[in-house]
Amino acid sequence: MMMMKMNRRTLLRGAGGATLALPFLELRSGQARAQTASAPKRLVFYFNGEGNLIDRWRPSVASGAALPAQLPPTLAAISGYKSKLNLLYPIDNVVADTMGGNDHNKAGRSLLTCNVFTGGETSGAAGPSIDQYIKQKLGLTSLELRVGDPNDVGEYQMLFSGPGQAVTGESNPQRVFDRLFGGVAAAAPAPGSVSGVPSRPAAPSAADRLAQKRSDVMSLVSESFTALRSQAGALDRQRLDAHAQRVQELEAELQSLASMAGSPSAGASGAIGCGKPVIGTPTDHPTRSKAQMQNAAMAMACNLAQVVTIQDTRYDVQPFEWLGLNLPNGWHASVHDRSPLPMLQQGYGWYATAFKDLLDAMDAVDEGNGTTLLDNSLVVWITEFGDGATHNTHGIPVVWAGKLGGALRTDRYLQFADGVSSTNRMFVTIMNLFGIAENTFGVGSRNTGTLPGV
Amino acid sequence: MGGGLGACTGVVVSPSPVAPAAAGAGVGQDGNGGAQADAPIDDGNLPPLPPGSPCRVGAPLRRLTETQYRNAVRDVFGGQAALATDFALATVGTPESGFTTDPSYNAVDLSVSRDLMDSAETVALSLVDKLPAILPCAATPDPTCAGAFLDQFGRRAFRRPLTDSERELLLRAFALSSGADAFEDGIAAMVATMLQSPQFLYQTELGTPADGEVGMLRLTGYEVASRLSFFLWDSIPDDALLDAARDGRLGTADDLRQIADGMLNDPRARPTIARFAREWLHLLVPKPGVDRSDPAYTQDLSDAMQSELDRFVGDSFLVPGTSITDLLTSAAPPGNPTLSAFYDQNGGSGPRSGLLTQPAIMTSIANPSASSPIRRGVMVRRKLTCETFPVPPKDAQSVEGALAASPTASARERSALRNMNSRCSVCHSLIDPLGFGFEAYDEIGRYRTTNGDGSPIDASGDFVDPISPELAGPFADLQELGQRLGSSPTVQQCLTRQLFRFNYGRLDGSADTCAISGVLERWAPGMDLRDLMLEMASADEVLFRRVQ
Repeated sequence: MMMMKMNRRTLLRGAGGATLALPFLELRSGQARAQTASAPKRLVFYFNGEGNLIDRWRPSVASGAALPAQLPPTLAAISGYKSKLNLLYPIDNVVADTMGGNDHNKAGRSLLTCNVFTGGETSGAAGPSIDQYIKQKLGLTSLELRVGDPNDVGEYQMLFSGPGQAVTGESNPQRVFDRLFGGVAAAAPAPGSVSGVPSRPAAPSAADRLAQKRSDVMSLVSESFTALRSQAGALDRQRLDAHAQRVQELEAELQSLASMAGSPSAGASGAIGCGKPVIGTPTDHPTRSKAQMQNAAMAMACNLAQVVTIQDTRYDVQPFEWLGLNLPNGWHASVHDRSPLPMLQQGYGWYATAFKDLLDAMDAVDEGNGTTLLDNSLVVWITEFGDGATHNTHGIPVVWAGKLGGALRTDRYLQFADGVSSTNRMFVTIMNLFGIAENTFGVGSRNTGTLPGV
Repeated sequence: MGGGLGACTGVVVSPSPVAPAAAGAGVGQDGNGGAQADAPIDDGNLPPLPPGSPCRVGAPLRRLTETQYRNAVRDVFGGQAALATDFALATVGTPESGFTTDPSYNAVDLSVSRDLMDSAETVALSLVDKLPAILPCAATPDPTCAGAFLDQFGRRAFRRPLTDSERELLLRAFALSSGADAFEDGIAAMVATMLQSPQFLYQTELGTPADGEVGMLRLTGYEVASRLSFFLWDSIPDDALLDAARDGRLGTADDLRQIADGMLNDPRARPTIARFAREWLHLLVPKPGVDRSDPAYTQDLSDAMQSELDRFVGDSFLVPGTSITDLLTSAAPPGNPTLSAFYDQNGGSGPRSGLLTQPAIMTSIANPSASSPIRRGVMVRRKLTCETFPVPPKDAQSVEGALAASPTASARERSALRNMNSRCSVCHSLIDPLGFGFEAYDEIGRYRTTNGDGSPIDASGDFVDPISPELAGPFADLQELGQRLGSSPTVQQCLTRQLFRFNYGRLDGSADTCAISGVLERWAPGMDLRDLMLEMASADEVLFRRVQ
């Protein structure tokens, strides 16, 4: 059982624009309730493109030591979360070493899958990404979010449910909620609602009424495959069956969402309104990013998803205009040139700000017994390269936030000896932390074992 | 014959410019090295065709591409329906055939399934307000008017009259609603179901067993109508074409040719031809300031290049009497005012060679701040002569690292350095001399006569060891290369193969030689590109499909 502490004032203050000045979480009651059941463990991945400035990311403390009060420049924004962090360095993606082709394609496909291409260098990955694998193993629900324009992902398709089976994230923050809460009655307006905030219409809209029929419609869609498949040739039937299978999965997902939505967790009766908020479709990057971070926290708080990925997809064109940088050659070219350095530091530092938005949103959700959603989660911030300028897939800097319900010690800098760490071993470590007793993930020379000392 | 190429790839390619039936027109895969596709079909398990039979051509079940989906939604509802502004269908990789109609590019994963659901709902809801304008009847709570709606819009969406069970299923979707808004809600649920049905989302070609044609199915008139409309319009048949199917007016090659000729005059043909050209040449649109650093390459200039390309290929394939030679040699300067002004400010447009000097192509096939003789040479060999060419070895860029140490080296000097490594030279000796022919056109398609250091541009080149002998030998400039390509039977055959891949959504295999050489023999004598479109649209095999 859990209780939401995040209040509207907090959201309004941090929103950075009118688009978020809306009832994000509807609090019907301000009273905390007694907590009994323990909160579920959640796993979150946040990704930014183009590595980092390692000399401005690494803390100058010994391995195993506590983190400094003030974190290095590109992490400065999350210094306040020091007590809930682990910094891991260097993590090597050694699978990419074995792959041909463009630096971005190979780094992107292999980063979370620890696997190679199914075919040419623009094909998919030959195995599932760690988020999807854990989701499947534990029978959890996942949410895949993107920050950026729908087509920005480019070379960085990195989520796969199986060999060559890409999983696409949703970049429209409002649609995330339309999907999660479709067909669920709107949450009642909160007492003392803020002026200027549009209140939801009393009667369900045509869209709500259609959303309420989703399950039935999908069932009819499923049925519409039957006659066709019996007439199709063998190869065509495989294609139709694969599609029909996805329709059935979607139908099952909708039914499962419908049963969960509106009831944040067993027993939290009426305390939280997990109804559909109106976010709008912000187009400026920081606001969109923040909206997705809050979506992620909301989905986990309302138990609609236990595995969440958030991929900032603007890895090439990003000029960071809201920081006043307006990088003339865009982010990618400047990273390669390692110039202008002060601007690069600010750019990388912004990702820490975005990550802080996520931690803020998660840490504002009270899950009882003095714990927050963040405390009961593992949030992994990862990037595809170590040093951005050389596009090297070795030496990746990784931030872990959260205590996973106390299973994980925090406030540590964990440095690994050369040739020891790998993305595979980090993911095996995470699988073990989530109770999956396996010792291998993906392919490559370091695909077995765990990270030492974690 | 292509001995050097064999050395580069380890693949023996056909020496014949116009492959006879036995030679295998299309074993080589000159795609882009991407997603897994069906293996090319061979005819091994079927008896030989009797003389005079239509060729057996296999056609996979093709899901509507994103473009086709957009067009179909537009055309089913007469332009009244609205898609979400950010509508997109996710894809991964590059199809082996090079064309987005390839089913390997359009697999439905859970994300696409969600996108299709969201989109179907968005479209359905957008129609609710438009119902008074588009309904063929007065709204009734019983299924009478919903049925009439299906007669009109369902027939377009499924590209044929609905079967009784399809009709019954969609009316069950209509019946899910009750209350004050039951009719509007019912139509919305019905449309949402219809737009997620495989009968809408796939180009289905079930056919019926063909009398006397072993291993073949004869397509229905409606299925033939869809073949024509997706090939020529990237969209569904219009009502007139569906009526022609209903009335049995799509039963012969002559019927098809006459109808296809009319369809090419429709505005929907031009964007379809533009898509063919873009996917054939694997063109991307570089982003100003990101993919190309020259500040002269602005968004306006980029847009102008794209519209000029679309205009040029549209004219080439649609204006009667325009030949493949014109396509590859036309000296006419760009017709776009923004482009003309740009060239005027930069010393003129220089000599033009049709498609080869199209600024959109020169700009796409280049590096961020330099031309790319390599990519341009590969483009000619893969796309214009359909040679098989491998992707570079995975350590290729380690050599580039050494080259970066001498950043002022010219393209020719870099090539010479690269060719000192025998592993590189095995392919680059075939690629680079060809690509040097494009050196008079920089990375944003600007004509130039000098290099950055003031030395004169040398745009001569050499077509070393081509797939057929008429292409071989040195050339003084791109214009000479264009003439050679523009009159080459190999290029004609390659273009025919590319259009075949576009039409059927797959790579061609040895079994397709029959169909490809048939089309080639009919259009190539006059070399008229509109004839190529018409012959592909009206070949006998369009009426049939090979069994799977």
